[in-house]
Amino acid sequence: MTAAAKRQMTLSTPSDLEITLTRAFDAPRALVFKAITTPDYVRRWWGAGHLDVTTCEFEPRAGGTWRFAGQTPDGMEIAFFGEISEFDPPAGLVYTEAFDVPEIRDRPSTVTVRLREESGVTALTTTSRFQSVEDRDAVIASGMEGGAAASYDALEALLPEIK
Amino acid sequence: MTSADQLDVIFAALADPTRRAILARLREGEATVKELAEPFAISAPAVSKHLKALRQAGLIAQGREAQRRPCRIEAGPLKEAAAWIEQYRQLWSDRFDHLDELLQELQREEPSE
Repeated sequence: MTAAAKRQMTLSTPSDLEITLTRAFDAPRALVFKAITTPDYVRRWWGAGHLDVTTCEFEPRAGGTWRFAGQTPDGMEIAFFGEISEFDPPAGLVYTEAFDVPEIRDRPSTVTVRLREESGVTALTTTSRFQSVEDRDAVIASGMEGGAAASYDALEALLPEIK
Repeated sequence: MTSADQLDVIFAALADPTRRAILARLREGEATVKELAEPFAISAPAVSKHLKALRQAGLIAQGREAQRRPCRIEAGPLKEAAAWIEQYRQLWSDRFDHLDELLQELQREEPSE
C-alpha cells in the first residue's frame, strides 16, 4: 500500500468578495460529507488545537440552523452561526455563516460547499462570499481586533520552520 | 480599491514561510536587512529577494539610507486584509488537517464504509 503524500489546502480569491478553499481527502465523499455535517464529528476537528469546542449544533436539512462555538486559551468565546439553504448529501451544501459579535452578526457570508470523488479521493471545495465590500471590510476589521494576537502568534509559530 | 489581482500578489508574497516570519519580525519594529537575515540560516542576498517580493506586494517599505536600508511594515486596509486572510488560511488549513486525521481514524474503525 502506498502512503499518500501529505495533502495541502489551497486558498484563492476568485473575486474581491470571495475566498475559496480546496483540500483533497483520501476518503469517500459520503464519509467526508458526514464528517463535516455531524456535530459529534465536527467537534473533533473544528477546534483544530486553537479552540476548545463548547457548542456544536447542526440541523441537517434545508431550512435548518447551525452554531459552532469554542473557547480560546485566554478564555474568549468565539461563535459562528447560520442557516442552511441547500442540503444535498453527499454532493454538497450551502449555508450562511456569521461571526457572533455585535455589528458583525448581521453581516453573514454565504458558503457553498462541493464534494467531488474520483478513485477514492474526495476533493472538497468551499467558497465563502461576502455580500458587500462593506461587509468584507467590517468582518476583517473585527477579526483583526479580536484575532490580532492569534494571528501574530500564528506568524511567530512559523519561525522554527525556517531553520 | 482592493482588487482580486492585488490580493493575488499579496497571497503569493505570503505563501512563503520565510516572508511570513520576516513580517512577524517587522511587526515588532523596523529592522535592517542584516538584522532580518540573522535569525535565518540564509544569506543576506536571499533575504533581499524576499524583501523585494514583500515590497512589490506593498506589504513593507524600505528606506533609502545607503548603509542601513531599514525595512518597516506598511499599515493600511489592504495589509490588514492580507493579515486576516493569512490567519484565515492557517486556521482552515489546521482544521482540514484535523479532519483528515478523523477521516483516517473512521476508515480504520469501519473499512467497509
